[in-house]
Amino acid sequence: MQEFKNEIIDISTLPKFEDVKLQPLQKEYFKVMLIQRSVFYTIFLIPIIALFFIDTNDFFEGKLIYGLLFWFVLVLLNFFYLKLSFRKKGFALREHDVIFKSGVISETTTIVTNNRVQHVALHQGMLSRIFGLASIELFTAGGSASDLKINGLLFEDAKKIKESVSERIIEITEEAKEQSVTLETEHQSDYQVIPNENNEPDDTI
Amino acid sequence: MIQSNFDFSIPQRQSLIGIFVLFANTLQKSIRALWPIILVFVFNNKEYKPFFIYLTIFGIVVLITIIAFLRYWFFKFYIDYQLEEFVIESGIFNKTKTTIPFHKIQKVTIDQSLIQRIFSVHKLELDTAGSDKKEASIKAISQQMAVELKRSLLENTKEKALLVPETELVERQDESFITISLPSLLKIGITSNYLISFIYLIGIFSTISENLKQIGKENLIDENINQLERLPIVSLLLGFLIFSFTAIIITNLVITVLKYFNFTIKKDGKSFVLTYGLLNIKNTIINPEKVQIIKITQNFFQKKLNINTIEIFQASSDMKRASVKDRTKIPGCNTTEKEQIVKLIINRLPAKEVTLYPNIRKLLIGILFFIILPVSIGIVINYTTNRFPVNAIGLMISLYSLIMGLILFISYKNYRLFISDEFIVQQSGAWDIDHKIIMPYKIQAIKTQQFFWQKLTNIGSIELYTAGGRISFSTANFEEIKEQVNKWLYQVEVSKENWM
Repeated sequence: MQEFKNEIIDISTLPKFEDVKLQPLQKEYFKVMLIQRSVFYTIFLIPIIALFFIDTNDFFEGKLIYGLLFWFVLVLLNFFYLKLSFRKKGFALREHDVIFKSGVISETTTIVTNNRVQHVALHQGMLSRIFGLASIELFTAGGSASDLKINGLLFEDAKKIKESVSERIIEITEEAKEQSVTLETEHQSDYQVIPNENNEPDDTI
Repeated sequence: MIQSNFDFSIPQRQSLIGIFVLFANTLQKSIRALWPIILVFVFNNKEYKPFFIYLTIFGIVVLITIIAFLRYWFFKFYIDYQLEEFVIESGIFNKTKTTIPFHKIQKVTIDQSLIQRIFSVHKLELDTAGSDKKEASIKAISQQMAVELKRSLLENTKEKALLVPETELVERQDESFITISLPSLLKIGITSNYLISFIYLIGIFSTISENLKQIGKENLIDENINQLERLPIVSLLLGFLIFSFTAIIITNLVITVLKYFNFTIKKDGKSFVLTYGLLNIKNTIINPEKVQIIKITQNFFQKKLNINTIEIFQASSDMKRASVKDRTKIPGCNTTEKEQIVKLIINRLPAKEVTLYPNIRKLLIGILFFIILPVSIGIVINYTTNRFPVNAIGLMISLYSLIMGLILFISYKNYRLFISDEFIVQQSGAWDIDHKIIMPYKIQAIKTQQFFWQKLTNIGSIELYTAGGRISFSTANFEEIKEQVNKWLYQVEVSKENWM
């Protein structure tokens, strides 16, 4: 099955993933994140104020201002971090793979090649829909840690990515099918009946 | 189609004589579940009337017979020709229906264990690739029925043309490829898994003491401990060490031999079959195409004794997700056997063309987090509480630093990434030294990672994901890493080979 090949690979002439110009995420996506966080922090504010009103022993008397100040600093820091991390995020689509870079303290670059993608998911939340945004998720067989999710794409772009990657998956499946016809391998993926979880009959009495 | 004496489209039961096999099976299971209680009753000094003992034994035998009969009665199997499935129904109260589509069946094995041989019945098992667990097993059927069932299953599977072509109707006499000898197993038993056996022992002791407490015999332990306390501390410590060490080794030996007795590897066309076990015989199919990672482990003693442990990580047959990954262990093979097995899976031995080394900072960070930090916390705590005198704490610190430093230094020295065009080998470990082998075209995704302060020194890390787990290499020259990443991406993108 495995044909032996041994061509020399000249590393220096290969395209460099690190030199690829990354596209930033849509500016609107930052607004979406801001709105989401704002809602979250407003809800977070409720217990602080409630504490002040329920307080029967007057323990928090006059201390509400500190609570609010703490809350304010927290929100400010978080928004600052959000802005930083938004700026750090970027993606690139190449002919054969998708690159995504993110992280403020630790910069992570994830690369998924199109011919290893199992399936593609396109997500669109309520807020994203208003701004015409969508996110795309590429699933590989490498487990959840290696799945690639890119938020804040234009809906049109996301659709294009999904289509192009899906096409590639179909191509590969067809190639594999042709192979399996000629080689009679046991591989088939479009027919799935998963046996019952408890399929050890002798374990049930 | 050959004329069959059985109609497998209607539900069939096992052989009636199979009840004995089921009886033995149920008995074995009950003993395994209840052995601490049985042990406690046997060693309980209370005098029981003989009549009472006989009555209990009789009652248990009757109960197990009833269970065995019910299991026999409710166990049915049939072939659904329309849906192209093999169906097993079982369970007395919890009904289980197992369906195995024909196209998933990789192998049908007919086997006989000791008990089955006594009652001249056969066991039939269905295998799907990449799974240690049997998808389905029928414990006791007559030989004629087993052969015919196997034939009808294979005929139908063959029609689907998806079965591995090598699995032929005619029983070929598979020749044994490698057999792991008992001495090798014993060597593995005394040189590995100390930690696991230790935990296992603690588990056993706590179950025993728990059961002793339940019948009000906890003073048995207390008295013994009180007697021990009269001994001088040094001999007590020494005795404890010797005792636990022997106990660990004995448990290790017993577990290893029970689990891996008569470990044989048979080649079966493209795939190969592992058979092992003393009480429970296990069959595992390894399909080289599905193998994602090969891990070879050896420690200092094992190197001297010339034995290795090989672990094989396969991608799951169905979902193609790493979450259901499967590991198979091959214990105690010597260097030639190891090379044979590796060649069997990946055709050749991995070459080491390029080597990536970790930066010295990896060692320094290790020293900071595992020596300097804990030691200074220890000093501060001791300074405030005055628990130990200065010279005692000094001795402890230097001993700890020495051992920890040695471990860190050795693991730093062993930490390597060997790269060739066809293989990536990660070497790591201080005591148990692991070699993880993957092939570039089996990579699913690549992640590079760098902390912002590492930009100045140009170091970073990499993680390579396969369908059977991942390997990583950290604190290495980031330029070299990026160069290799570009090469691997190229290799993955042009690869037409089936990665599973």
